Amino acid sequence: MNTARDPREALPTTLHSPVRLAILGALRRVQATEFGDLQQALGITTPELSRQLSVLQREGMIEIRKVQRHRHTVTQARLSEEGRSRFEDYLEQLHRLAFGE
Amino acid sequence: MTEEARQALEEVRRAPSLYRPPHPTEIVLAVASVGVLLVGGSWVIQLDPPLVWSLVASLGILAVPFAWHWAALRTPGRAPWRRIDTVLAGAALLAGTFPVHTLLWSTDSSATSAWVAATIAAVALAVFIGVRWRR
Repeated sequence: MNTARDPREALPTTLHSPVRLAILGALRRVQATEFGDLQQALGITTPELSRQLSVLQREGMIEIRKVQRHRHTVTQARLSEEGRSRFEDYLEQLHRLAFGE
Repeated sequence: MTEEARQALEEVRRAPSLYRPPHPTEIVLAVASVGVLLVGGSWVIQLDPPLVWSLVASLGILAVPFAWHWAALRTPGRAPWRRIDTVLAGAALLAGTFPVHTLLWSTDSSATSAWVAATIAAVALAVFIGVRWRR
């Protein structure tokens, strides 16, 4: 029995949360961002942002990495190449649904 | 379903901007890099130093666009990397070889050829940096 699922099928479920939509919408316009910038821009708590980013990372939508800056470890997040492509496809689908074009 | 789709699109449209304008230090470094390529490049070509110093200067000239390319790939808050960025980064690296070529292989470098080679390298780098700073 083939239990593998099409990643595109999982996308709308992943994006059901308005917070995750906002995260992806913000990440879509930049190459990468720092955790602190994202948290400040969205106005959500650290645990909540961590949880949402973990969900998106598990789905392969985003990449998270730690970088050293001035003796501090900074967390950076970015849309993965696949995630960017999947998100753009998803937005096209939404646009068609919303406006019937 | 249509209404849900519209709401989702609205969420995406209202997503906050994470763009970071270039820091003053970065602007100063950019101006210095372009200036060094232009003035320093043409000056060293006209100076026509011995081979060892020419090689050192060549490495220095090439290091400038390489360093900006490296930094551009890692700076957060900038526009997503697109094909045009790859093309312009390649062009800046290639343009950096013009003064290197004039420095190492041209036997009789005039002031004009020195300035032309250095200007090509400086302009290509300035264009690459400018495009990376776009929103």
